[in-house]
Amino acid sequence: MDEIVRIFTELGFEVALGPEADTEHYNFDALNFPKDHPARDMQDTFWIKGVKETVLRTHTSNAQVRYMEKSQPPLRIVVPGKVFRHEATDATHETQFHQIEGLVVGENVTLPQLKGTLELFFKKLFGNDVKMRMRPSFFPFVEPGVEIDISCFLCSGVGCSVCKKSGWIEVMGAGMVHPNVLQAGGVDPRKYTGFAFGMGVDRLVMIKYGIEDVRLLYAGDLRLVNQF
Amino acid sequence: MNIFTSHKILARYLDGIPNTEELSEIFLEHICEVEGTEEKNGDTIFELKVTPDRGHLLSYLGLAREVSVFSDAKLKEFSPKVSAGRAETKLSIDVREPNACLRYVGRVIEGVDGRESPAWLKEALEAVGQRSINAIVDVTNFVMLEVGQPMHAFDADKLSREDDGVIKIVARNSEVGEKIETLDGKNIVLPTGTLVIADSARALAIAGVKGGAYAGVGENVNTIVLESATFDSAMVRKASSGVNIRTDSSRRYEHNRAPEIAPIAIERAAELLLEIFPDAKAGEIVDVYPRKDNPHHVSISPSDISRILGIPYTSDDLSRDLSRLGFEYKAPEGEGFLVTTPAERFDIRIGADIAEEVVRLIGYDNIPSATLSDDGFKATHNDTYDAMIRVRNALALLGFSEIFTYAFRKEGKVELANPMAEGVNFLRDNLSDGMNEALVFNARNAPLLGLDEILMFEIGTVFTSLEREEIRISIGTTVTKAMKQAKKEEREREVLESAQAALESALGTKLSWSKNGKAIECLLSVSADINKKYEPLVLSHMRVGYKRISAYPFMLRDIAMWASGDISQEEILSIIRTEGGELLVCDRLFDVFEKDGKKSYAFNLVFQSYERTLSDVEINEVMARITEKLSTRGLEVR
Repeated sequence: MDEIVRIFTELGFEVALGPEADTEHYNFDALNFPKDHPARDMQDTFWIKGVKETVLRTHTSNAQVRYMEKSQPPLRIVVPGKVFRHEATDATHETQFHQIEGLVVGENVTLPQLKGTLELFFKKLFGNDVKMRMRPSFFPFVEPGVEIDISCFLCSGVGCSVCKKSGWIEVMGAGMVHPNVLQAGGVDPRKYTGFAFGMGVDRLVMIKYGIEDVRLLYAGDLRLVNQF
Repeated sequence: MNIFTSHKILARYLDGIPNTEELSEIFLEHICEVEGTEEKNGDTIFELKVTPDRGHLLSYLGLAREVSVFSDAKLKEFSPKVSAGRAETKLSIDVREPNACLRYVGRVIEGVDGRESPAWLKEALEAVGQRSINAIVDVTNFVMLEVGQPMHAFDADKLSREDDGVIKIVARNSEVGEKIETLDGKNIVLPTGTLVIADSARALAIAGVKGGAYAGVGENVNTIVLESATFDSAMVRKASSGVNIRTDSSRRYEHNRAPEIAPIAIERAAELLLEIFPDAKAGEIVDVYPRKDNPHHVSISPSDISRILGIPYTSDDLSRDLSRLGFEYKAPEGEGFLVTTPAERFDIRIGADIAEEVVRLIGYDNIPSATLSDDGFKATHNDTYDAMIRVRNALALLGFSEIFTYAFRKEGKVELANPMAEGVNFLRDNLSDGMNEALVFNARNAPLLGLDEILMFEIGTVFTSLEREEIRISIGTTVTKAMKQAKKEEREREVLESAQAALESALGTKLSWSKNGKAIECLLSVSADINKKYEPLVLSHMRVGYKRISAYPFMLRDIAMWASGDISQEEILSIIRTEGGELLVCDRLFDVFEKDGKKSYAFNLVFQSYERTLSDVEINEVMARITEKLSTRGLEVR
């Protein structure tokens, strides 16, 4: 995780942190997740008892609007941290995992810049041979929204079990910041645009080191930890 | 929501459909993710992951329409229409909750029966994993898959009649304590205010969610009332979670349905029913649409698109792309276009939504890459994050491993409203409890790890009250090497003290520690006047491959021997490893001394299998082989 954060700080990003328990406002509403909409199903949520509308954050995106409320653009942040999902656990799903979120807002921030920034990032993390592609997807807080795939570094795109024979591995969600989110952060969407991206760190670690069960990462088990 | 469709199914709606491989690429690049494909009976079934904003794709027609936009295929004409015959049964509809029931279209069909579906219909349903029930039910299900409009059929002979013989269907809220038995035989007490479809005697269906058993279509049916209704998405979502039933119907409603498709679906269902039952008569369509939806408009200019997509984009480009997308628009006066959103496109509300349509057309692969320009942003140094790096570096240098333990515990100050299970319903209020458990757990594996002592730390958030969370550090150690208890305790104390000192020096501040068992913890804090530059990371040896952890227990054996002559320790180990084979997962020299010109070596050997629990007998055999081999090389095994 620190390796990833370090790449972004070298690209001029500021490290921001957010709370793990946060209001429904910062975790959902301000990020353009409508109430009573299937978009909420994308992130099953833990709720805190005895206090209204408070959740364990489902993504580190909760820092987006918090940060914009304090600082006007231009801004470039990365937000590492732990997130929680109310999901049955199995080899690829955990109730808690680590995420890194990025947010860039400025006067002329564009989709090609998102593409270029992420390509640069993956080259620094995985080496110059890595290829990246974007394909259409949906996250309420961005529009357009994309899924980011990288070429499988195990088989170099030929097809293996890790990439399910496709040659590509899904590693990130990203997109251009939705005007409603800028507005929620007090940023004028007519003047500014932005991009955001988010990745599951555990997934990248699993892929990079070929670990087959995410639960091993949270068992505090030195049989795993001491291998690194 | 994932849905299934197939190449053959989509070919029904498209002239010149691309081949399977091209189709798969078109989905992935322009439309939605393909989660899986399966070859079945000469057809290819696609499992598609439709994102929550794009409910219009939850139908074959919707998918076919998109495929026609992104390929050369042409959408075939689809405008079903059935003229009303002289049905005797009269129908009236009373929508009492126009906010929940946006439109209700009903139609009587007389002269049907409970026969099976024709082969094509059975196959069409089975191809996508749906069970065939009878022709009537199958037609309603098929039309939902085809048009995207959930439908329902009631057995008209079971419905109550008004004094004038008319069947009256009512959309109303449920009363206090009102019950319904669902089609699959569950008795449910409806939460008060759940929208139901009723006759004057009883609730017949939970609107949009599930039909009731009472007026279900069975073998002895003669006349049916078809329902093609639009229910509010949020209402259906609440109702569905209120009764804890999710169906293909409720999920489609949750994704928003356009009221405009309700009459098309009922015409299509009638058309198919009349094909199957040639002597049947369709009644008049009864259509109650209390507040007609106005079309949505989006204003957009080519420069808005360039601003988001970062590419040159002209008025001509926009006209061409809007036409390809099949969106109606008013030609520009000046720069602005006024686009009329198709009724089923709930995802097109603002300019950025049009930009997304445009980039889907262009293809993300054709978007260039650019670097961020220097806009004067100066990153502020994050002291808290810096402190975490300092802790990680300082402790890594002392040989500590970082662990993450679960935030959910059986005790704490902050409770979850919906825990995963009993016993993990609180958020942790300290790190030491988890650390102590991890120490015990890892001490058991110490021989496997080849460790004399376990050294671990965690940086994590704890929740000390509803209003407060804080980041703490915990450090723990346990000596696993056999030695006197007092010695062990002394060593553990020393280790913790040196770790404390290293941290306080790294963070430039005194830390206030508390002890709990074999762990200590403190608040993560850092001196305000540290060097405002992130330390280089102390890199762990990250390039090694990960080795799978066995779920089976390990076995320990020691072996000691006298060596004379010039055989080296490496040679001895090599013999042991060869004979131990893959069951020998760890070996360690723990004792060596010389006496009377002979050298004594003693090794710990750890055996473990990935497939099974090892038996004593099995390991005794391995040890016997090792012993024998060592003896042939002149070693005296003791």
